[in-house]
Amino acid sequence: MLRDITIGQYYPADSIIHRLDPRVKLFFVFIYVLSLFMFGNLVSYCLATILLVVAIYYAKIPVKFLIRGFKPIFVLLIFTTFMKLFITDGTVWFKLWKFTITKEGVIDVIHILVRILYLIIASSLLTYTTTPTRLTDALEQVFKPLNKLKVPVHELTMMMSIALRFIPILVEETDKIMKAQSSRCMNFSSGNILKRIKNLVPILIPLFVAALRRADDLALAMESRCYQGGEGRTKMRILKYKRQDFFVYILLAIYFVFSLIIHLLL
Amino acid sequence: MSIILDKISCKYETDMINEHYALKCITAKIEDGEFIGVIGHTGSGKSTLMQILNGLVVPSGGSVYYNGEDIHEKNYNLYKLRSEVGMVFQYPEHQLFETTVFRDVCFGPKNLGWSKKEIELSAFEALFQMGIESELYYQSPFDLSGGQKRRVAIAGVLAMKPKVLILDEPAVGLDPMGKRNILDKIAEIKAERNCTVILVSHSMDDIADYVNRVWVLDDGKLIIDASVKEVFSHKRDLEEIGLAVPQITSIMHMLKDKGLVVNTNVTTIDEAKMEILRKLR
Ligand SMILES: Nc1ncnc2c1ncn2[C@@H]1O[C@H](COP(=O)(O)OP(=O)(O)OP(=O)(O)O)[C@@H](O)[C@H]1O
Ligand SMILES: [Mg+2]
Repeated sequence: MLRDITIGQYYPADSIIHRLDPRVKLFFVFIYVLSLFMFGNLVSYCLATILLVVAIYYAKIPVKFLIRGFKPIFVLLIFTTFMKLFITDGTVWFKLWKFTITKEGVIDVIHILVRILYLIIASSLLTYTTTPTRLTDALEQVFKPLNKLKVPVHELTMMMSIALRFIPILVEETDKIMKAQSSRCMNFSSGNILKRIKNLVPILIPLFVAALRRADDLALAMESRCYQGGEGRTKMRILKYKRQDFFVYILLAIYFVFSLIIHLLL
Repeated sequence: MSIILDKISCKYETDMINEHYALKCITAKIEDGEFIGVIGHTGSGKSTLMQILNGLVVPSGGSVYYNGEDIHEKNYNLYKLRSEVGMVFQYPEHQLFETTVFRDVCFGPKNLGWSKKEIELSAFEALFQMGIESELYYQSPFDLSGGQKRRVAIAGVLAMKPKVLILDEPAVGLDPMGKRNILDKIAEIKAERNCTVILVSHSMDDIADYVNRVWVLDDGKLIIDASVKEVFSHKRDLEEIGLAVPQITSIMHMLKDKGLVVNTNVTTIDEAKMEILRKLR
């Protein structure tokens, strides 16, 4: 169950999308998500769908893994859908006992679903095809200008990459602790809400202790290798744009301008 | 009363694509009151096998029978199984969470729904058996030393009065004294309660000193299931899979190579002493 958490996971494969410059992918996802929320019409959604399908196809990632990413938020999604469906006012389409379903409600739900699902797919596509190191390299490059404003860009991206790196470790740790406590006959799934929250204590405390211990170890290991932040630090792999990267930028520009024009016309 | 493993196999999804068989077709039977040692190189599937005995990992093939009942039947009560088959994990100190040592040891029995008196009595008994000084009972478990934490965690399992006790490398990472101490305590408890004990260990000497029967795992397969003496007579086979015989046994082998014709089928220091004296007399 815990292994369904796929945020920040990398799917090793050799595809065009994997080889793209991480900055390109970063910009792409940013603009893509922006466009999803800016232009909410049928044509732009169709375009977005086509783009997504093409990207998934070229990334050589089994659809199974993309769908896995939804599992954790599935309940949330269903909940918002129903809330939105039943409480939105407007032209009544049909009535079901005390609940009324309105035209506006249905349209809103479609908007929400498309946006959230596409957002998740696009961002998990980004992390599936980009190793955390490359991703943080890209972020560091992109935000480098902020250094002038005294923003510690390197440190922030380093924090992010460590956080990403720690997700699977903590998931594993949680799994282990849950097993250890259930071998002491702990019952996770019974009792009322209050009892269930209390049930988390035997999991959370060892987990926090483990996380702090690991953080401590990591800090020590980094310091003993003379890590001292971004100042004067060089990179082993320097990011360089290639031909396909420019091609993708052009594609992105065409997509965005086209959607914008349609949005303005409609 | 017994545990039967019937053609157990178990697979893990390693990264997102690959599968890996951690256990392959393991068949074995554990009788009441046995002291079984499990050895095998790192990643040979020892921990996985132990978790299957406790019902924590569901095997992908085969069945586990506890006292004649399949533990993965739909309406089998896993809580009952876990109350009778106690498991001490690798690094059990990582599971401590309560505010005091005593409360942490009470956690297991509390989950079994015993009366308060029974719980406290059992916790005291377990702490006493593991040799925890009574000043420590009301301290935070996080303030203890590594070895003390380990003993508290083991006491937490013992307090549930298991009929079968599984220990996954209980002495790893401790100094020689602490290690002896824990293993002696376990042997004592076994003698006293007459329970079944399964001990996973990387130390051949510990295995030779404490257990009656040995399982040798290699790459997920149970390749030898025999008495201590017999297992350690397969010196060559063990070395091939990255294991070794107890130090005293290899000393006897060396003596033999040097020309002193001793019987090398010896696993403890006392036996070796007798054998050498017999030869020199
Ligand atoms: N939760 C898990 N997810 C994926 N693979 C796992 C998991 N647990 C174990 N494995 C794999 O199963 C195999 C057996 O692991 P196991 O922990 O049982 O070995 P072990 O014999 O206990 O090793 P050690 O002596 O290091 O404790 C290993 O190859 C390991 O990578
Ligand atoms: Mg292990």
